[in-house]
Amino acid sequence: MRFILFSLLMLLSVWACAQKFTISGYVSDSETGEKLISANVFIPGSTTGTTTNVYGFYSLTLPAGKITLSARYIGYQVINAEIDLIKSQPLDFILSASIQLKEVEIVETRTEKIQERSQMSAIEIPVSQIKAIPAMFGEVDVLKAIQLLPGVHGGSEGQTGIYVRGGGPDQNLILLDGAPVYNPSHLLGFFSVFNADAIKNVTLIKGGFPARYGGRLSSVIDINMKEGNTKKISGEGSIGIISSKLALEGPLFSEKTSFIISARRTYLDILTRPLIRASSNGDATGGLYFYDLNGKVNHKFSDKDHLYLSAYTGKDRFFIRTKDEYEYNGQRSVSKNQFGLDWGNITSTLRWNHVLSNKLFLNTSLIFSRYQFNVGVENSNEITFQNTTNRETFKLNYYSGINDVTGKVDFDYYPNPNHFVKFGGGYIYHTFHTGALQFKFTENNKSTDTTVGPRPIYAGEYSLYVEDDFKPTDLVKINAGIHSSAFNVKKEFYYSVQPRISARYIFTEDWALKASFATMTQYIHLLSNYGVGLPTDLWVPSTPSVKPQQSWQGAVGVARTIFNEQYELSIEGFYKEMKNLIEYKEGAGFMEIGGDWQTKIESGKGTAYGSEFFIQKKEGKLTGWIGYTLAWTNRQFENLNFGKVFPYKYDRRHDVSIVASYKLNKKINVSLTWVYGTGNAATLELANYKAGFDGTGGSDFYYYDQLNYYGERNSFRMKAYHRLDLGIDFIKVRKRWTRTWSVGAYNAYNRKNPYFMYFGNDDFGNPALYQVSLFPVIPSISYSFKF
Amino acid sequence: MKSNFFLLFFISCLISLSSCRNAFDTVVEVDLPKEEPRLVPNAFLQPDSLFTVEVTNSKFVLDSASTKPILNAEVKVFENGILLATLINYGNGVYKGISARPFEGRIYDLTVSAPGYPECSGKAFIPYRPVIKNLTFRDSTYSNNNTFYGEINLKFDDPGSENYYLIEVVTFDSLLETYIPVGFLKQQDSDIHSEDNFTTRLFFSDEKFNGRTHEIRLYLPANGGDAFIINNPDSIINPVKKDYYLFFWSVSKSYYNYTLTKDLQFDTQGNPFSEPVPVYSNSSSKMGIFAGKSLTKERIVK
Repeated sequence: MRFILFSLLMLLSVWACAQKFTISGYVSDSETGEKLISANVFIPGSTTGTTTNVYGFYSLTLPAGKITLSARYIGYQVINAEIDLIKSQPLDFILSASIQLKEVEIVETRTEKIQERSQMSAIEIPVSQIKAIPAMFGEVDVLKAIQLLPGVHGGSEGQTGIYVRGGGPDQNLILLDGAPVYNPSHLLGFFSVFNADAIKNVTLIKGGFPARYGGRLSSVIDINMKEGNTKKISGEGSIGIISSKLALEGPLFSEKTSFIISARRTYLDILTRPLIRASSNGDATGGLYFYDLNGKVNHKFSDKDHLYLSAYTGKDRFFIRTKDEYEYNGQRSVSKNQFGLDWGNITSTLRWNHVLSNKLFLNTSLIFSRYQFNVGVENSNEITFQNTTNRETFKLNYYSGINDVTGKVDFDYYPNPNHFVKFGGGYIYHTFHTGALQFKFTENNKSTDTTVGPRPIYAGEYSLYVEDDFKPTDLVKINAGIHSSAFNVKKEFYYSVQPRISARYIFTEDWALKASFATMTQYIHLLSNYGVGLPTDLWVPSTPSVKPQQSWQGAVGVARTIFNEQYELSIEGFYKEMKNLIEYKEGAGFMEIGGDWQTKIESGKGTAYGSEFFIQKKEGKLTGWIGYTLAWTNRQFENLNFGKVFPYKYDRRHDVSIVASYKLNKKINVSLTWVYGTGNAATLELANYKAGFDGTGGSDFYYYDQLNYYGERNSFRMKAYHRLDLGIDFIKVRKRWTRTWSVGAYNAYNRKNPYFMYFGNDDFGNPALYQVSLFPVIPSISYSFKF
Repeated sequence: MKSNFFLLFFISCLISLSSCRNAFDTVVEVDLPKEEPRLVPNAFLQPDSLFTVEVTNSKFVLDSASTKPILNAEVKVFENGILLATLINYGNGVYKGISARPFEGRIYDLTVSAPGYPECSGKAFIPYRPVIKNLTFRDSTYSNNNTFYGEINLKFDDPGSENYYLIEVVTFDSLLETYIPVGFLKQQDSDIHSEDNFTTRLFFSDEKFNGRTHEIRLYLPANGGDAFIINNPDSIINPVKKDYYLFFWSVSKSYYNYTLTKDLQFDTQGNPFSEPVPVYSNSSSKMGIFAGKSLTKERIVK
C-alpha cells in the first residue's frame, strides 16, 4: 500500500513537472498602439521562443515554473517579464521605440537573427529606411526601394516594374492588407501606388515561398497598412514638387477603435492647365494626374475579437479637351472633342481576427480588388441654322480590367515552442474584361449603341494550404508545407499540388546553411507589349488553350549576423524553371482590338539562375545595404526567335546597389543610393537587305522591298545603367510637431542612361542610332511635417 | 544655422549642376558595332522552270548606301554532292541555269560566292505538286453582313508528310502579261490555321489533316472586285469576261516560313506597338531564302 502511494506521488510530481501552460497575447507599440509584426518573444539565453504573426499575436506553451520572458523588435527597447507560470495566461507586451532613448545608438534591438530563421530569400525593409532613401522628385516609393534589392530588376529607367529572379511583371503577388494589387503603377509606371505614410510593414519573398502564399511564380510583396494610432490623433504630410500628401490617424471614441486615412495627389495638371488654355486661346485644356486614398478602421471588440476594414483607391487620368466654334453664312457650328485615358485600382479588405484558444488564432478575410483601364474619345457637333439645331454625339470607349472577390480563412496554431503551424484556404472569384469596345452615336436625342469585343471571362480559383515551421533540433529548423490550388474556367478545371520546403542548419555558432525548394502555379497572365507596367497591359486567365504558368525554384545559401550583430549577411544561389509563359506573337500587339487575344500569343518556357550577395544594416546611425546579383535569364518559345533560346528582355548579368543613410546629428540625415546594372537586352535592326518575291499574290507590286535584319532576339545590349541619388534631410523638432526639409538629387552625376533607342539621321543626313535618356539630374525639394 | 548653411549649399550645388551645358540633353548618338555586308540569295525554284537565283548584298543599317545586285557572283547548284549547274549572270543580280531544271521531290544544294563577301549556301526542297480531286464553284452561296461570296470547293489528297500549301485565285492580265490575284480570299475551315483573313493568298499547313483527303471551301466577295464577274458575267460594271484560275501551290517549309515572316515584317514596319518580326532565312548568311514550290493550276468553271 505504501509502495502504491509512493508511486502515485511520484507520478503526480512528474506530471506536475511536465505540465505546460500557454502564454499568449499581442506585442504593440507604446506610443501608437500599432501591433508589431514578427516581433520576437523568447526566453533569454535559450533557443525557446516564437514570433508574432501579421496581427501582432503570439502564443508560447512552456513548462510550469518561474520564467523570464522577453519581447524585442527592431528599433525598440527589449522588455522582460518575470512570470510564475502556474496556469495559462494572457500577456501583452508594449514596447517603446528606441528613438525615445537619450542615446541614439541602440544596444539590444534585434529580432530573430537571420541565421535562426528557416525562411530564406526574404527581405524586410523598415518603412523608416524606405523613407530615408533619396527619391525621384522627392516622392518616396516603396516599389523603387524594393528594386534596389538583389535579385530584383526594375525594368526600364524610372519605372516601378518588378522583375524578380528572371520572372515577369505579372509573377509578383503584390498584397496590400491581403488584397492583390494588379497594377501598382502611377504616371505610366514612374511612381508606385503605395503611399509610404500609410504603410507599416513591407516584406519581399523571392524564393522558398511558405505554403500560405500562392498564385504567382516569382515573388510575394506583402505590404501591411498601419492600423492607426490608438492613443492620440497624429498625422504627417508633405508638400513636394509634383505632389502633396497628408495622413491622419488616431483613436475613434475610445482606444478600442482607431483609424488612419491618407491621401496623395499630383498637381502638375493644375499648374499647367492655365498655360495650355492661354496657348490655345481658351479652346483647349488637358492634364495628367493621379491620386491615392488609403483608409483603415479597426475595432477591438474584446481581447479575442478584432475587426479591420481597410481600403485603397487610386486613379490616373490623362485628358485633352478641345472646342472649336465658328459662324458662317448664318450657320453657327460648335464642335467639342475629348480624349481621355484613365486607369486605377480599388482594393478593400474586411478582416476579423478571433482567438479561438490561446494556441489557435483565426483570421477571416473578405477582399475585393479591381483594376480597370479605360480609353475614350468623344466628339460632339452642334449646328444651328435658322433656329434649328442639329446635334450629333459620337462616343468610343475601350475598356479592360480584372475584378476579384476573395474569401479566405487562415489559422495560426502554436502547439508548442518547436512548432508553428499555419493552415487555411480561400476562394477567389475572378472576372476578366479582356478588352471591349463600346460605340454610341446620338443624333437629336436618338441614339444607337453597340459593344464589340470578347465577353467577360469568369473563373474561380481555390486554394488550401498547411505549413509547419518546426525545430527538430536546436541546429535545424524547417518550414515545410503544401499549397494546393485549382482553377475553374470555361468548363476547364486545372489543379496543382505544390510542395514547399525551406530549412536552415546552424553549422557554426554564427553561420547557417539554408536551402529551399518551392513549386508554384499561376492561373493568370499579363499580356504586355513592353513589360513596363503600361495601363494597356491586359490581365487574362488560363483557358482551355492557355495553360497555367508553372515554376520550380531551388536555392542554397549561407547567412549570419556580423560585426557585433549589427549587420545581416546572406549569400544565395538559385535556379528557377518556368513553363507556359506567354508573350505576344511577333508582330502582334494590344492595338489589334479585333480578334481573340488567345490567337495573338505564344507559349514558352524560361530559366533563371544566379547568385545574390546581400549585407544589410537596419539600425544605428548608419543604415542601408549593399547588394550584388550575378544572374542569367533566358526564354524559349517555339515560334519566337525561330524556336531558339534567347535572353529575356530584363536579363541582367551584373547588378549592384548601395543604399546608405547616415544620421549626422539630430538635425541632419544624409542618404545616398548608387546602382549599377548591365544594359538591357534589345532587338535592334542591324542590317537591311532586299526581299525576295516570286510573283505570287501580286507580291511583285510591293513598292518597298527592303527587309530588316535583327540578328537574334534581344541580342543587342544597351549601355550599362548606373546612377547616384543623394538626399539630405534637415529636421527641426518643435514643441508640438517636427518639420523636415528634404533636398535631393536624382541621377546626381547626370548619367545619360538608355531608355530606348531609335534610328534617325544626323546633321548631314546620314543614318544614325540615337539613345534617349529620360532623366537628367533632377533636383527635388519637399517639406514634410509630423505631429 | 549650421543646417541652414548645408541646405543652401546643397541647393546651390544642384542649381549649378542643372545649369551645366547639355545637362538636360537626353538624346545622344551611340555607336553600333558594324555589320559587314553579306550575300543575300533569293531563290524560288519550281519544276519546269530554269534554276534562278537573285543575288544582292546586305548593308549595315547605318550605311547610307543602298543594297545592290551582285554582278560578279558564282552561283552553283549541286544535287547529292554533284555539281548540276553553274548559273549564268542574266544581269541585275539574277542568275539562271542554261538548261538544268529542278524536279519535284528533290533537294538541291546551292552555293553563292562573290569577291569581298563570305560565301553563303543553303538547301532548297522542291515539293510534289498537289493533287486536286475535285474543284467546283457556286455563286453567292454565303452571306455575311449582307456581303455575298462566291464559293470555291476544293478537294485534294494530302501526302503523309509535312506539307505546306498556298492558294490563289488569279486572272490573266493581258496588259501586264501576268496573272494577277482577284479579291480577298476568305475561309472558315477550322482545320486550317490561316495566317491572315484579308489576303489574296491563303497559306496553310497540313498539320490537322496530314495524310488524308481534305476539302476546303473558299469564299470570294461577290459584290465587288473581279469576282463579281463570275456571278454576273453580263454586269455593266465590268462586262469583260475573263478566265479565272485556281493556283494551288505546294510549297517548301522554308518558302512558307519566309513568306509569312516577310509579309508580317512588311505589315508591321514602323508600328511602334508591335514586337520586331525577324524574317526566316535558310541561307548561311542569315538573310535570303532557298525555297521550292510546285503548281497545280485549274481553270475555274461555273
